[in-house]
Amino acid sequence: VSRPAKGHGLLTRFAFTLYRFSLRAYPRAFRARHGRELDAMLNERWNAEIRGRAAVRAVRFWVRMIGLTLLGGFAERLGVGWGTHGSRGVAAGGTPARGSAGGWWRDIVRSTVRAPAISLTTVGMLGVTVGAALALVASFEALLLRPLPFHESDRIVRLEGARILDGERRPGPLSVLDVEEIRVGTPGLRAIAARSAARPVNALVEDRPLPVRAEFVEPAYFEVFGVPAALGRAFSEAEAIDDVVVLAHELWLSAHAGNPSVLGRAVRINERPYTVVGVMPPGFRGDSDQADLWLPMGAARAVYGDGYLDNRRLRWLGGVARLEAGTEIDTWIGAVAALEHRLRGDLPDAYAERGFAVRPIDEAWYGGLRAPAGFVVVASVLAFLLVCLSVSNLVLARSIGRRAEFAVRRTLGADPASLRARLIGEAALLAIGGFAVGVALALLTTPILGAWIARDLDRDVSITVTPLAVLTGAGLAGAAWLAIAVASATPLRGLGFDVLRSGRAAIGPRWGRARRAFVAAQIGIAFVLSASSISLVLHLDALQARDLGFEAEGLHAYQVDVLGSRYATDSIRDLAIHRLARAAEDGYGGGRVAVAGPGGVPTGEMFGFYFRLVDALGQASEDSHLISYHLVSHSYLDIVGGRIAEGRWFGSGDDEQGSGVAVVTRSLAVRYWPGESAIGRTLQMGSGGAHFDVVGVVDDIHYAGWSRTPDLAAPEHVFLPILQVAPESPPRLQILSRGPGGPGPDELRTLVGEIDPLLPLRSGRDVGESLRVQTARERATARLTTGFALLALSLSFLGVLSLVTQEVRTRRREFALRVALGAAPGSITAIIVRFAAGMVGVGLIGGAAAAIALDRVVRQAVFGASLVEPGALGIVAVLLAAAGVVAAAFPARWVLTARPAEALQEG
Amino acid sequence: MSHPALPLSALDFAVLMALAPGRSYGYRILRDMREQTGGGIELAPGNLYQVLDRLSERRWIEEAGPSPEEQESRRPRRYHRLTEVGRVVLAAEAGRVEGLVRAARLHDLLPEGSS
Repeated sequence: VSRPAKGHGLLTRFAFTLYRFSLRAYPRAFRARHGRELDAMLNERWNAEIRGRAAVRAVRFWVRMIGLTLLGGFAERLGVGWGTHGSRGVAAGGTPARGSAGGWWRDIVRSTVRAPAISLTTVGMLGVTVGAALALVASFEALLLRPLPFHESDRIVRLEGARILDGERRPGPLSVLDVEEIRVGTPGLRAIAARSAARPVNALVEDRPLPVRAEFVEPAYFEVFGVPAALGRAFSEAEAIDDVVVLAHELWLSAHAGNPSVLGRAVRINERPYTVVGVMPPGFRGDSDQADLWLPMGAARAVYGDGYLDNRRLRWLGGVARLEAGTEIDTWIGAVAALEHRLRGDLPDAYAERGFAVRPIDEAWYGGLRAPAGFVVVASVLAFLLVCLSVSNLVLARSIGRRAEFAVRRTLGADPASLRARLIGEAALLAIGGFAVGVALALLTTPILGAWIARDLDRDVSITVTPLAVLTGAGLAGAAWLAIAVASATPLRGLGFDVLRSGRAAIGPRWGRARRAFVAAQIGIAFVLSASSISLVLHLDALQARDLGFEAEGLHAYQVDVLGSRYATDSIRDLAIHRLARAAEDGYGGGRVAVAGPGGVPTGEMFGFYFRLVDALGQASEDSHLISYHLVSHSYLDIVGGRIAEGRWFGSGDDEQGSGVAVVTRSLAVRYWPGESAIGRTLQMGSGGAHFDVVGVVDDIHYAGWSRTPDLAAPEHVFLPILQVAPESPPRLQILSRGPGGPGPDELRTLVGEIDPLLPLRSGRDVGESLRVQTARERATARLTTGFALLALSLSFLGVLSLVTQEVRTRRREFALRVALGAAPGSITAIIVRFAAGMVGVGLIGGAAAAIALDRVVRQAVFGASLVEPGALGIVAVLLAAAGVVAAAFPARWVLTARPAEALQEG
Repeated sequence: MSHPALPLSALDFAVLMALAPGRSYGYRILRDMREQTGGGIELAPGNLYQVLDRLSERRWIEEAGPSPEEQESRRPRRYHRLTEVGRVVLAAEAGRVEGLVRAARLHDLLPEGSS
């Protein structure tokens, strides 16, 4: 194959390369036989007819040549001859060429491939949207429509605590005794169980350390869900011993290779042996959907201490309950409200600011995802509608161009019904092609999408193309078929001799108006989608721009649970904690390391303690307040990236020898000492515990990150020096390291190993990454909507471009005359721009009206982002207007650079 | 006049017509076809060679060597010409089309004098 002649520009060379690549569609033997001519012939035609002419002509040339080559190549491979029957203006066609169904289809295929640009564009656009719809439905099925892995889930409810602050109820945890009160105090319950979140534990399975998550649950937990064990048994109500464990099916497969003899064997968790009594069925991961194993609630006593089970005010749990068959959920919720009221009177200490919240399990699992998912579905439907409009517009244009052909066919005796059937067949072929491409795209993209969603949601998600997804895609392809068939058949109705005689085969103004209306509707849809996309991005930006009071990027946290038989006595445990804390205080890791406990990691778990305020006379208040607390080393504020606002942070003197000191956040200072300075005030830890003088106030640190849970988001925290108070319940240390420069996991493991080689260091949490997970839903919604918006913008642009080009071609003689008669180029451009501006203007007005009408719905669905923010509307209007101007500029340039004499001769 | 191969497809007819004056090669066949059909037929090079292959198989056309002048131009061209069978088929198809045109004129579909 020879190279294109020298002197070609870069773009032309690129087009030649693409053309040569498209020749690969032909079988090798065909290329070997004709390769040289194929190349030389195109070169000759390019030089003789296209080179040096308008760019639009060159683009059309290459699109047609490459498209025809691809289609011809595939036709050759399929053994379908090229142009063996009927063509424009000569044969009658419209009836099966050789009287067979196969012949009829071959005729349809040929007619379709004869307009390669339109056919490929239609199939491509339908393929992309059908593929997107398939992938979306598959994702929703995996995330939202998946039947809950529980028996009769409509009778299961999730229990949460409620914290009542300033008259507002905020979600919070429950204690074991809260759940017990509900069990005793409300009728109509079949089973109820407290459960913890899926908490990380140190497990040694078959001598292999495994990072696993455990739910601590009460025995009735599995009865609530109505799920029996797949192997062995679940916990029984009469479980007297706490050293048993039930495994999730997935852990059983990965850690025990699905070996049934696992029953009765021991798994070491936080260094204590637990006997495996059962394995749950596949897919069941508990209410958290993250559990690898379940431990009886009693085991929490060994892990965390007695208070976790006996202290009514130590709230760290949730709960689940199954109602009796005859109990209505609403009735039962009323009973829980009555109980809450009664408890507030009976036990004001524990329930003055506390209550309960109940939700059906289905809503608890999927409630938060439904609204954004619904929004994305609406966006995808809009995008599909837009594609249907674009495709209809294309085939409408082709049909208008085929009026003469069909008039001739009718004249030569073709039956109108068979002509209609032929158009329906052509539409079916395009729809089937789009569907096939869509399925292929979905098959390719769903595994990637699954991995992406799993990472964003931090959950195991496997997305596959399901029958429902395929059915949805088929439904959309069917709708597209209908739209294409109607658009292609309508301009050809009632064609006959009269059309030919009167010359009405040309494009009538009616069809021009119809196409302009289509494009205006496209612009309207593009407006709504783009406004949604920009609003979501602005909303996300505003959310992420909030000052959280810490620097998330580069902050890594590692956890050390000082648990196990070696630490049974407090003094040994304190020693270990003390030595680690001291290492950080002494500048280990070049001062890039801080130690905290039990919480202290932004986006991580938080712990509260009851404090009392001490007055100037040293008297502690009657009321105690649950305050989130962090025991920290001196380097903590610097490593986390916090800022001191008043007073001072901890120094080297604030150790076990010094007097008790505390630093509080600004919000805490304002809540407890409004209008006064917090410095010099005193807090008492617990009842009769140590006193801590407030020596500093720091700017608020939002430990919950961007979480929308208001209770967690309240930035009221107290910090105490870790050398003055060791974390006891749970005895957990967090090692925070800031990179680059901070020590990594290996160095930290060595540090911990020097204190105790058996003390495990849990793998690190990247705080920046955890923060990003919190906005995963918003980001996913914004990304998908932006994808649809970009598609909508490009299609609208192409719609305007094609209509303006057609208008310019129709009026080329008029423009040539005007130019010949001395019209200024500006006046020609103005005519063309006015034509485009009409369509764009109508679309913009319609789109803005639709956006305003939809605003309320969207605001409720998508995290409060408003569609009609002036910024978003303005940006979209400018963007679409600019697209319109650019789309008009190409054809205008074509008119102005063409030679008037040529245009007049052509006409 | 009738022939079992009739009616020809528009493409076959146009290619045979382009070869009616004598031997021709790829680009010239394409150009002549477009001129004859008023730009109604658009093909990529590969498509043309698919049709040429098919017509060769039916023995309606055959390869022909270049003339001495053409040989001097040293272009990598392959020439084709009509066979006797091809010429008969082409004439039969032209006759068939002429009949159709006459019928159309009788129905007052074509102005007098147009072809």
